Amino acid sequence: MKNIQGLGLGLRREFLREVHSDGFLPDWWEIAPENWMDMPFHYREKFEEILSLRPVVAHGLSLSIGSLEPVDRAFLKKMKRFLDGYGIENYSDHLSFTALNGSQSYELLPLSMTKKMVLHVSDKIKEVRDFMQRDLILEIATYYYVPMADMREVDFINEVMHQSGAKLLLDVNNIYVNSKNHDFSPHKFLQELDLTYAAYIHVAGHYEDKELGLIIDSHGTSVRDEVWSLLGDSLRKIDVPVMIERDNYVPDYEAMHQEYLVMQKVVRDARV
Amino acid sequence: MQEYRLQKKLLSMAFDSEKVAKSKGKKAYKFLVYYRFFEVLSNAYPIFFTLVNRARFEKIIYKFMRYGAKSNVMWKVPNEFRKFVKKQKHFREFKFIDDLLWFEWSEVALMMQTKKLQQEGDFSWDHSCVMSSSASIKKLRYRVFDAPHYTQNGEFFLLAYYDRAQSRVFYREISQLLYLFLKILKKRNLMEAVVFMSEQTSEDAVAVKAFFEPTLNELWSIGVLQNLTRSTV
Repeated sequence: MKNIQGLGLGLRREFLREVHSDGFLPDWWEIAPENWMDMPFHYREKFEEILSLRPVVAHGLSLSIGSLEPVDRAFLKKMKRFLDGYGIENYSDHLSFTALNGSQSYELLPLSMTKKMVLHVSDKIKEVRDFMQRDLILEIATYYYVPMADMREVDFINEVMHQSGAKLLLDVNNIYVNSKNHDFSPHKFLQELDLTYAAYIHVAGHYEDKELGLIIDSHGTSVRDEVWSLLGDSLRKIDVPVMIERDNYVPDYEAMHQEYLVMQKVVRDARV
Repeated sequence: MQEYRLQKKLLSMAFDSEKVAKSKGKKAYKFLVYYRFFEVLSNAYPIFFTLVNRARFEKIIYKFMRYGAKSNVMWKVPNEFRKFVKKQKHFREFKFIDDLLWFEWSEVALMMQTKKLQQEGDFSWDHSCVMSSSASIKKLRYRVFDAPHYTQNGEFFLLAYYDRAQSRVFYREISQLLYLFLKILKKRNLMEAVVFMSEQTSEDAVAVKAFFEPTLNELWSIGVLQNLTRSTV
């Protein structure tokens, strides 16, 4: 990724008052652009000050690259204006869909893992990349069921990356969650995944929904030991930036700093 | 294309409370999608949420999801919901519902204002004065801003504004005269507003100015009014 190295954190509005140039700062920030593009003026000054301190990756939520309909050009235009305005070169979103026929779900929904879907998604990725004039990085998403498949998940992801030229956002929490929900080895999955496309790594928290009998990718708890372990495994294969993603039940900035220190140790130990 | 049909089917299942999710994976998505809407709407409309019971709230969320939320950004969803309730004439037994939803939405809308105000100096009749985008006025038929008197019927004129010093939205009941003056100011300049008010009240322009000046001074100082030539994005 351009200008991004080391370890990152997701920038939340809750942190704005707590981030200072002489205090703890991650090596880089990740922001959800949809949460900042209509920024109230009373946040803007601090946001811009924080952006001036460290490089930024924009991690979108609403691209809906997998929905079987054309790319939303109006949305892309707005996104490009925001990214260009702040000089943000790195743009990621999810290998999933969130909307169809103009109706939003605001949830990352699963894609059919088929050859037709590979073609469709790859075409859209190329269109997005051309329009945005930057690489598109796509996150391996969680899925709680597979709508339809004529290939394995790992082959589906490899094929999309290969055909589209997109970069990969390796979310090791999602790989862990998927492996538990769909009963496969996350280590074997990592072995088979083409990591030459990897741009950066996410770690996040999850919880077990006993009623549903599923592990849910909540981004609402601390990172679990099993995910740290899988991160270590990943880093022995590739050397890319890593970050903690936290979207729900966001603790204070100091608590995130403490978790950042854990990540630092895991990364250091893995790279020895 | 089968893949398209499956996407449509998943959304149709997630948006319909009557449709049963047959697998645990689909159940998870049904819950997750619903919860996204529940969270944003219950946060934006806390009074409305306590007025209708949980079952009705759930039902209207499903109807709204089927109707279709269009915005790419979630903070705009409550406004889409407000318009949906009004257009589709839901909750008409609560005669104050449109006023209440406007009142609750206005806090979000004003908090999210993107324009920065750069005030310099004091209020002057020479300014190209307009109402700031951080402020809003509304004529209400119900006293929805004064809990628990939502049902009190009448004619109420409300000024809502984002206070920069205290970082929150304030509401103030204002006179009909001030409401009219500010309403005119949305489309015309200060002097035209004075002339209009002069015609309405049969007072001369000097008297109208003298009457409004202390209030306009105060509204200027708290950022409700701004000089058009000085405003910046």
